[in-house]
Amino acid sequence: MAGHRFDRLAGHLARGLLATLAWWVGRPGREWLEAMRRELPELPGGRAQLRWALGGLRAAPALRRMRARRPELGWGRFVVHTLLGAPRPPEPRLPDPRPEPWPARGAFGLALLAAFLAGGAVAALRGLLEDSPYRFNAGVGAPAGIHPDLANPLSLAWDGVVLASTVELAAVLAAALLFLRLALDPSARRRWRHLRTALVAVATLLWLVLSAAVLWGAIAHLSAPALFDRPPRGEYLTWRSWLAIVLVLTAAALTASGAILRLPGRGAPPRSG
Amino acid sequence: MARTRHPSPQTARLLLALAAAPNAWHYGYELSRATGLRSGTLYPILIRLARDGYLETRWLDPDRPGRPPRHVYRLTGTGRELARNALARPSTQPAVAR
Repeated sequence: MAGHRFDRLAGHLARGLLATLAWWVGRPGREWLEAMRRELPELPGGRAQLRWALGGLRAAPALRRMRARRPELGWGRFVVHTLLGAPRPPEPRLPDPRPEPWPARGAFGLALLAAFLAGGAVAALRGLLEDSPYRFNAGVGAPAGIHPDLANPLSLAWDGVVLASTVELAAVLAAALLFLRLALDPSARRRWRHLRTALVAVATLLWLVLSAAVLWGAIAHLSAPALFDRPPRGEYLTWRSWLAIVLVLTAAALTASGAILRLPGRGAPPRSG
Repeated sequence: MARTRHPSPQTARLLLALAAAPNAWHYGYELSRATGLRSGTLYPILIRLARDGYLETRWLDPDRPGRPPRHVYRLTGTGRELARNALARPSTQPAVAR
């Protein structure tokens, strides 16, 4: 059973690796990595597929040098599409009239969002906020210039993140991983198609709320501790609180990545076997 | 411009596999099995041969429904000549494929 799961995971990794490399090399080298990816269903098992895909690492640098001057999907556009959850980044032009979905988009979105959110929160707390000009401003919601009507729900969400129990954190992470797994599983698309819009909306909302709550909470807590009526920061924000922040943001990134990943799969051909 | 240096043993092995059925289209995985070359070796050679005009490529619709089109390869006229020359040279005789 574990071997079967590992085999499937290896297959996912193989497809993701080749798709990522295909995106990285740009045109016209993309055709060759796509050609390698199209061979994957012929290989026996996920491990063999992964070994096959690893060969793409040797071909990719030469293919990247072949790329056109103006690739249709540059870093800047990709980051904007990923952060905004834009519906459909430009599809690569392939000779095939029915290009397959690109799992790399979701995997890259996951890495990018996790790094962005976790790094952003830490940087905000460690650097920017230590020297905040609002540090001694004790007004409710004042630190971030937010009206109390908005500050209070954010405060509650912040408390929910920082004071979350292990069970709650585990549930959030499990839900996020389940969502991402469903997004990675092409066979699940039919069952979930009717819920896609709602799931994408919920995922996006979750990501926005958690990001806003954590960043605002950090700002507010450091600059206006009276707002929280809590012990000093060193006692309140323990290592476990930091862990909770990172875990929740990672879960939000997982969910958002799954949402982004689901979108391009609309026209995917059915998988056989 | 195409390079004029003699092909490596791996390239010669691939040329032999392609020249065995010069009019047929070959799949990448099929060539990998026929030559014993791993994908990381096979595809850079295929890319180089195609770039230098020794190989023609196309996307072939699958014979099984639900599968995506696959990339296939065939030697061009100059590719067949290269294969003949390479296989005639003792130093580039390929090892026996798996």
